[in-house]
Amino acid sequence: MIKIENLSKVFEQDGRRVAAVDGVDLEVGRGEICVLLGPSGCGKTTTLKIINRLVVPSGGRVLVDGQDTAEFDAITLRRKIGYVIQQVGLFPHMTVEQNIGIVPRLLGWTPERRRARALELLDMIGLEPQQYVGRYPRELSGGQAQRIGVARALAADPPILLMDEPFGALDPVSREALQDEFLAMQQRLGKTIIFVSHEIDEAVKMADRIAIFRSGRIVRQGTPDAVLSDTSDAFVAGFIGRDRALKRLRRHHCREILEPCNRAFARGAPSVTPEDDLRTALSMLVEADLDALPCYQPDGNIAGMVRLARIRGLLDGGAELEAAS
Amino acid sequence: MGELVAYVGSNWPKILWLTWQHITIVGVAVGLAVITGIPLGIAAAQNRRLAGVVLYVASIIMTIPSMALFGILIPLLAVINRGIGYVPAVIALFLYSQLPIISNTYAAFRSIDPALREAAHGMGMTRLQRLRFVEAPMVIPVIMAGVRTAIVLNIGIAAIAAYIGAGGLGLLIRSGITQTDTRQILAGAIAVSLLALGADRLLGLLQRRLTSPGLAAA
Repeated sequence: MIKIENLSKVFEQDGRRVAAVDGVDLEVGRGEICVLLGPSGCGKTTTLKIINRLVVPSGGRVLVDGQDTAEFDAITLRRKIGYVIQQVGLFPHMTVEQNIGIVPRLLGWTPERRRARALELLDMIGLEPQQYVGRYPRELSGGQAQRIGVARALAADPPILLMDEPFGALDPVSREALQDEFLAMQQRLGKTIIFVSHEIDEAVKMADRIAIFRSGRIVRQGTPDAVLSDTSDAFVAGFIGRDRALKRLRRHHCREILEPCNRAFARGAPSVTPEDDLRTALSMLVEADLDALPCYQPDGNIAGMVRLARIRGLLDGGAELEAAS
Repeated sequence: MGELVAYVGSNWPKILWLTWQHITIVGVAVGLAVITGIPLGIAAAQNRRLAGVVLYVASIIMTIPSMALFGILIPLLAVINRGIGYVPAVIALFLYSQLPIISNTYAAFRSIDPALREAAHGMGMTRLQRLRFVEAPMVIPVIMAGVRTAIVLNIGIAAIAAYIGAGGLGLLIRSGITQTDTRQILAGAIAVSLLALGADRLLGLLQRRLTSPGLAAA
């Protein structure tokens, strides 16, 4: 879907040439979320802005469906790519409806169609349409504004979404909520998404694929599992942190390692459900000093058990184990 | 009080005519100032050095007392035989209008959040669309406030222009003073005040109409 080839961007700064992006190669498949991860100033945002041509590259090219984006008209290209930024950038003088409808308006949709689309999107992002459609941005909370920022980017149903730290300005609780909602939405929409983040936890949670940036280069890329289990590079290891095992376990669920229950568990003992992630299961195992937990279906029937040894085995399995979420 | 009413009653065609003169002087001066001040303000918003110079000069002009400014203009314009009357009055008011209009235009453009420009750019707006959909609706109310200030300010200053023969309601005040006729002084002064208040009110309404409810102070 999106293929980046040997991309580079050199800025002039105080007479010196600074390479913000330096030979980046990246491929993102249709329907994937690819997170560009790294400290500030590592070139991830510049790479993102080259894709919708807000920044002109010094070298290399970006292909969308096999076509070089440099051959597109920049304005047409941008209208086909949804763009969400950290500061949201809702237009304060426009209502929610007008904000969501702005790209459709540029594309010449009728007012009726724009309104219908705004209502549809508000419903999808979980805001009561009739209540919010006429509001102005100053009447929204940060989380609501960012939801509408996402709705605005989705308005003309672009196949590609670029998101620059979209949840970065929110408090941790709203951020978690928005991430969950967004992932649920993506399940249905299947957009191809490039997502810039500086937070490893967010990347592990959101990504199908992570590319770790350092000084304009990609130092490591792969599935979250592969990236988290790779300790060969000191920078990457340091960036991920020493609790990487826990971070990996968050991507896995009890259902993946269920074994038939062959022992009796005490009534009222700690238990999990198949959809609980393994970090939660591990935490409960450690807390109760047990080597196995019973796993019950939501309806109360036993589903199996989760053994500590299997969790360990999964971590040893290493990079070839794909996240099944 | 009764005398004043009687005076106005028998002289209202003259008062109306002077009011009209007053409005024309201010209207032409501010109209011209809008044409020059807005582009200057926009240019200043793009260029820090230009902004320094333009705003500095406009502020200095503002500090010149009106009598002194008329005094300066008389010998200058005498060269083209327009030392007194309508022309120097319009020029003086034009100069006084620059600061509110330029500085409001400058501030309005400078205050647009860069994130809005980036969002507009990133979603595929052309330069013209960004101006139409994003910048204009945000700057027009602020520029309008500057024009309103300029007009109200100049309605007062224009009264003094009667001393250089420009006409307008100042004429009533001037002849009232020379003839020690309180009725004329009061009629002139009240008319100028009413004109200023009315203009302020009217322009305030217009300004509110042009401001999106989303921008109104919370």
